[in-house]
Amino acid sequence: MKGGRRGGGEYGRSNGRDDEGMMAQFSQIPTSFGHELRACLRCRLVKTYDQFRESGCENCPFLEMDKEHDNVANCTTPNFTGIISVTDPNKSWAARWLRIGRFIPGCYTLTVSEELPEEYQTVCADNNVQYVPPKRT
Amino acid sequence: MVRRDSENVYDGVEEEVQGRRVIHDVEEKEAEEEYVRQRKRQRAGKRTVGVGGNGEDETEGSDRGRRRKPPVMKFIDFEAEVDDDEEEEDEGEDDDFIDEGADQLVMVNEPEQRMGRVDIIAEECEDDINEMERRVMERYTRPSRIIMERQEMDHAGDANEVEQQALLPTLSDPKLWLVKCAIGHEREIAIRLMQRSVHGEGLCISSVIALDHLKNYIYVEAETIANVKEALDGLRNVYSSFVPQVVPIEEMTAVLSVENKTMDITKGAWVRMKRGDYKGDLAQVVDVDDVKREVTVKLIPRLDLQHLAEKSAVKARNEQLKKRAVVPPPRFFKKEEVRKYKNLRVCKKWNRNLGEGFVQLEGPSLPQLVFKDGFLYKTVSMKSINTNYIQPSFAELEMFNGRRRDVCGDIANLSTTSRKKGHFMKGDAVIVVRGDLKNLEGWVHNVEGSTVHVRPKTRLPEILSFNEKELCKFFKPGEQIKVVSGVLEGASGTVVKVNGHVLTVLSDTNSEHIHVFADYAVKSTEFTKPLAQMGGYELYDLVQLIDKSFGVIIRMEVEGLEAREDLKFLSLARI
Repeated sequence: MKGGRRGGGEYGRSNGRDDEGMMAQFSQIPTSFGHELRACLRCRLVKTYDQFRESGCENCPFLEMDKEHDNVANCTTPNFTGIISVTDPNKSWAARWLRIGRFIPGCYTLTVSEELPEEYQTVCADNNVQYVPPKRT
Repeated sequence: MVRRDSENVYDGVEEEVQGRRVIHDVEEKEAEEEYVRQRKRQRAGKRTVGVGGNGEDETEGSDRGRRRKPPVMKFIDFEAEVDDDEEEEDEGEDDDFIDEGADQLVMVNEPEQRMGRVDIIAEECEDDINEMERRVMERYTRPSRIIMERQEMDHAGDANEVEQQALLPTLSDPKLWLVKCAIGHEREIAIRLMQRSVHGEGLCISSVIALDHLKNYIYVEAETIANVKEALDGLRNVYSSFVPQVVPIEEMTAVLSVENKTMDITKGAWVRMKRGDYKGDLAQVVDVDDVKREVTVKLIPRLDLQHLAEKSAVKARNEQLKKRAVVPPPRFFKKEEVRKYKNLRVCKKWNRNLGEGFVQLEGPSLPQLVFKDGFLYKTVSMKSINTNYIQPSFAELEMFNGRRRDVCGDIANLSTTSRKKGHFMKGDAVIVVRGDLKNLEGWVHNVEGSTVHVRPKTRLPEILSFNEKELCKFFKPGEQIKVVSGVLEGASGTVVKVNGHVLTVLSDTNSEHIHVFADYAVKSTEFTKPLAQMGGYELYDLVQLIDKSFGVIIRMEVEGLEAREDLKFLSLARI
């Protein structure tokens, strides 16, 4: 099943990775709105558990959620507040304010309830990727 | 405001400087551009090397034409020059500039270093610019790196609250429009709009925000109202009759701020029930489920087993049972009591969430009642508990911890957080309980709002100020105190023991030990004399009690009399 661009792909299951290796067009969109939704602790992308297991996190491929199923449970959480669907991250002010303006279009959450566990924070550092823990007020 | 274009370029370039400090300052960026312009001129053949300071223009006039300035000239400012307009060209140049500099330098931001850099630039001006640009472009077309670089830039640059200010919305940003929709469908609509946009319907919206705490509405970010309407066209659960309202710029950031109140319910916290039989009862949180917005709390059960047994029997006969007239008193649950009732059974259950074994009370048509150690564990929605300003009274805590002799641990924990502080008055002896100066004793000099000024007991000269929460009143055994707030208000006595925040006081009136929070007491010389007479009765009067028994008044207190009944067994002979 290719595409996810014009007219292609199943409803909601499209993953628009281009063959030329260009940046993915957008992330998978959650197929349900219930309890299976989880947010990635690093980039706050929201998808269902199964979607994370299937294709990992598009913004954080180094977390390797598609390879190791444990990573999904450890790096994502079902405790999050609010959903923001970013359709145009370059233009959106809200995405910029939430510092997700550099990620691919998709559904994100405003805040997550917990921090990324230590070992994954080192994985981030190894890949030269910044991790900002959620603010505690 | 920083231009978006140049911001992009800088962000891209920063990847060379990975792990080093990012250039934040607008001024510095402009300074960088200056150097680029200089370098271009150098390449063009005018070998003017360096000028001192930040953001100085390149030199002209007498310096132009000189191939090499003596190094010391770097430190001397010549006349400031007028800028040429070469903004566009700078963008591409910046990459090369920092590109080379980065190899040789450690720190990017130091002004002194910059002078060194200028020297290096001068040396390398023979490089082919086009080649440089080509390399840079190549580097940037590698996709995965782009993602990582950009993400890195994003976070690295904006990790600060000051930088967050730079992200405030401007007039050129798309606006937020408030849209009304059906309750409960907010998330669904946000996700559907995402799907629509992904399926290439050319939506001109930048984002859709569905907040958990805002029911009935969502925000759509778009340039014009027409874009919003077009995007929502045909969607179910959206009220098309409601004209989308624009959010004023000042209020845009408030939309995205999350109120952290609900996230603060932690395990072990004390709460009070708002509804039902347990309304007003103290409870302790044992589990929090944010997804379902529920908490599991531990309560002292108020069961009426008789009633429950009847209820199940009655249901079987399809009748309605009368509601209980009175709420049962709180009592710990005992399995043995259930055996009396045939309809009710107990069984052991293992609860996955809490990882512990529980006893469940079962019966036909009974709601789920789960017990452990005598406590009832109830799962309720977050809305039906009260988390703010809970002040458990000593008595309640004792009840709760009756099984564990750990009352003081909990109290100490509580007293500085949720308990309302008694007033500190001038002259009170206090002790610091939190922070670096813990265990420092002193006297209150004066109180200003929630800051208390204390003169320390030791040789520290000044008057120190503390937050109310960091202090606790301090009493020594043998002191006379009077209780000024709480259930025991009005009582007075002598301190016999100090146990953290709790004083054990020998009461004047009834010669018993009472426990009182230190903060509720003040030093006093009042002595509550036991009343000798009240309401027509005198001490040691023989009286007839309500249930026709006799008793002698042995004690009179403000609230009532205490008569000893069992005296009659001893004294019947005397009478």
